[in-house]
Amino acid sequence: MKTTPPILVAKEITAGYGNQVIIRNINLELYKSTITTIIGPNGCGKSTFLKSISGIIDPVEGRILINDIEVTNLNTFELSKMGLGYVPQSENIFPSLSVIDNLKMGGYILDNQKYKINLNKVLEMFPDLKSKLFDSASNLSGGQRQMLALSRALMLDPKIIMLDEPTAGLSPVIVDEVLDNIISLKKSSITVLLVEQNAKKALSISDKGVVFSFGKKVMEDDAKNILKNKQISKLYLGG
Amino acid sequence: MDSILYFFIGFLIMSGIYSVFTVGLNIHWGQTGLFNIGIASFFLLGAYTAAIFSSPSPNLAKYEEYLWGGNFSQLTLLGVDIWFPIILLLSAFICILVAIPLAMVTIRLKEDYLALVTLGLAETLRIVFINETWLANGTRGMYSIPRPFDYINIGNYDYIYFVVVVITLIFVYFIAQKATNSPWGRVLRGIKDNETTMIASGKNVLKFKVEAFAFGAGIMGIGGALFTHGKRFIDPITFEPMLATFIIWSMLMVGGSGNNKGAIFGSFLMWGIWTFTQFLPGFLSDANLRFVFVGLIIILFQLYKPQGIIPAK
Amino acid sequence: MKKLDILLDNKILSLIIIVICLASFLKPWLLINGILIGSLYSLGSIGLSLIYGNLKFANMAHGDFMTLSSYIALTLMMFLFPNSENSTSVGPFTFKYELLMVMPLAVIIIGFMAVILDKLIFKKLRKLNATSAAIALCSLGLAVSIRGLIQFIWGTDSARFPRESKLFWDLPFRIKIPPDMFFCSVVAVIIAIIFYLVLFKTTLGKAIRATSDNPDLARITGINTDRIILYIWFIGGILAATAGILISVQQALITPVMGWKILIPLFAAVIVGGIGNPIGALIGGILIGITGELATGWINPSYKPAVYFFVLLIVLLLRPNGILGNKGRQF
Repeated sequence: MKTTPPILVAKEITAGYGNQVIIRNINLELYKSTITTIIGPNGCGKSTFLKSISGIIDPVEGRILINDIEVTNLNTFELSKMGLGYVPQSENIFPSLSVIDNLKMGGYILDNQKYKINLNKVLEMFPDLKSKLFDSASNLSGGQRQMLALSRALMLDPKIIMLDEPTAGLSPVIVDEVLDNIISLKKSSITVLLVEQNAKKALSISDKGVVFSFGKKVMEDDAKNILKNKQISKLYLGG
Repeated sequence: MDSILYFFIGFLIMSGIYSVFTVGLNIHWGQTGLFNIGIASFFLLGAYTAAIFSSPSPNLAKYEEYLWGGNFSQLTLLGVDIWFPIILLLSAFICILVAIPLAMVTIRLKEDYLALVTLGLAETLRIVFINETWLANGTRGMYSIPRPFDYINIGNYDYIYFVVVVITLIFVYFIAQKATNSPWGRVLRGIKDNETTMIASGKNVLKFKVEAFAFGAGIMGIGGALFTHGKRFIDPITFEPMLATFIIWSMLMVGGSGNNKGAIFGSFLMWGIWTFTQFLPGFLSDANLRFVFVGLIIILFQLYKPQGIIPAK
Repeated sequence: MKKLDILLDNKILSLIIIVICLASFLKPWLLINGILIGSLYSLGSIGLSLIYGNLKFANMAHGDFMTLSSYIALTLMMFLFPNSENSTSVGPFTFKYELLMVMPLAVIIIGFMAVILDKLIFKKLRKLNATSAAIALCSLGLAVSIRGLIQFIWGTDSARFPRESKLFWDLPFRIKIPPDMFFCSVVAVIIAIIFYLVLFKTTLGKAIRATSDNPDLARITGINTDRIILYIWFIGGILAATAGILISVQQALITPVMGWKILIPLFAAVIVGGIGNPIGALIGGILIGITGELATGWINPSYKPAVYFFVLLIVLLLRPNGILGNKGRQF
């Protein structure tokens, strides 16, 4: 796997809010068609890391490269053109718009033809949304919201997609459904970076696992090894 | 030489009066974050309260139409004008009386609603005092308003009034400072910095805000009364927003919001600029350019120095 | 307790509605006047509501944008058409053809001015994460500066567009309509409808609403939110400018304080309709107009601004989220 160059490289990322630094010197490399899961206790900086990659917060230090192109100083809206998709944890849809308009916004930078192609592709992947297209997005259930959020991100054919706790607050059946969707993303050669509370389930579908603690990366290994690691499983995986 | 000195004393008196308003605004905005753009309403209420209560009954021969003059200026104790502090407190009291219900309606809502309501109140009060001539002589205004310690004769009365203003300002500064440093003041700053934490720690934030609004309004009322007895003439035009609201905002922005010393410093500085720019040559002395200047000061300080020249500790 | 609140508040609301209906029945000509004047308020408040709803602050300079547009239109007219004082006026209306020609120009100038002011001032404040009150305070400073500039350039006296006196239209029930007022109202309603279509039917409008909902998410989806905000300012400026010129035509008067004086009814209309709700602002403006005019049937007309203030207070007391409540469609 190491023979192909990484698709996303984050070098020495330090970031936070205002004067408060939350994550320090984090390095991470993502490879094509893999699923990487970040686990760690609450407040360890997982979401902050995703936000700093996507440019929602500007990193204090560090560099970000996508396909060897420097993107550190790009605006958030330009990153989506570089093939980086991001689904934040909460507030990840536009509640005052209809479902179809949410998807329309997802494909905001596409021309009309490409938009129609991608819309059909996404709706095939999430047929549940088809019947709700003209409903207000605020009326969707939790699972449907996650699907809408994911399909909104997929409208732009991202090469990399970052998902922040996509299963939070969902019932177990729906959690499995969402994880199945993530596996199918990998199959369509999308690189996935996942932040999960449901660490065991997430690691079981991942290639690689990363452990954060107090704003630092403390471990990075194959997902299988992390699942086997007794200490980690005691600390973060619930025994 | 004397005329320059008199002019300068007049300037100091006005700066001192404006300082009182700025300290009041500092309690609203600087300490608590209450957005009051109707300082003119409390200015007006304080000023008219003082004028009505201290003036003698109307003189029909002079076509004075107002119904009631309190004639408090006769109230002396051992030859000392005790009516003056009473009038100041009365003005403060009337302002507090108006401020409390107003705050209770709006403060529970979005923060900028208070701005709209105070703005509307200032305009409404002005219209009331223009139209209700029985109240305070309408557009002809109240004049020959009694002044305290008038009987002391040292040539220029302004010297005496200057001392009165300084003593009042020290008094206002003292209670404002006392309030700021009290536990009550600390809660207010907490509310300004992080309201949610304050609610979480069980503080009745609404009550504190209403109290702060009333307190600041009371101080503005004192400023209004001080203005009245200094100028001895007020009419509704006196309370146009430019000189009764906007300039006070620019004073606080310049001096440093959150800091009573800064507020007073800003008042002297801005009133100095306002007063002395009229001696500039040519079009530069145009009063309208001073409007532009006051507006720009508010904007530029918000953008580049939101803490003002003397920041809060 | 809550039930009592709702009951009480419905009672007061219904009482207000009954009073308004009764008053309109007694003096219907005031009702018609109110609707016509209200439609002009609507136009101003739609722009104000757009800025308030999307950029999340009360723009105190909105009124002065309106004033400035009238003065710019006046100057353009004097400069481009020095003979417009003697030219013919349009049909039954008092204004001249030349005004219709300079109006789009003045409106676009104000639109671009709003964009530039955003770049100079408001963009920086957003970067500083300023509170909405701090941003509103800056807009207040801007309002003061604009007014000072207007008075410096054009003086404090009132002015008017070149006009020709015309007869009012006499209708039954003592209803008299100045043709100008009718024209202005029709234009106001047409612009309000166009604006509604832009906002709800075009991709730009949807992007504006998306940005308003969640600016971070909008950026993530590839929307250049900085540019969207410029569009918001441009549209807001255009709406303010149009309203300003139409009000100057309808009043046959341009004064440096006209925009500032109208702020309270405009904000009242915005809050009545629910902040950020264009249809609400349209209805709110007309309701405010009707209330103000009807009140003049019984109380001294110079108290009209006080009436607007009391409407604002009552709305804040009973329906702080607007009469359409939270369910009203937001931008």
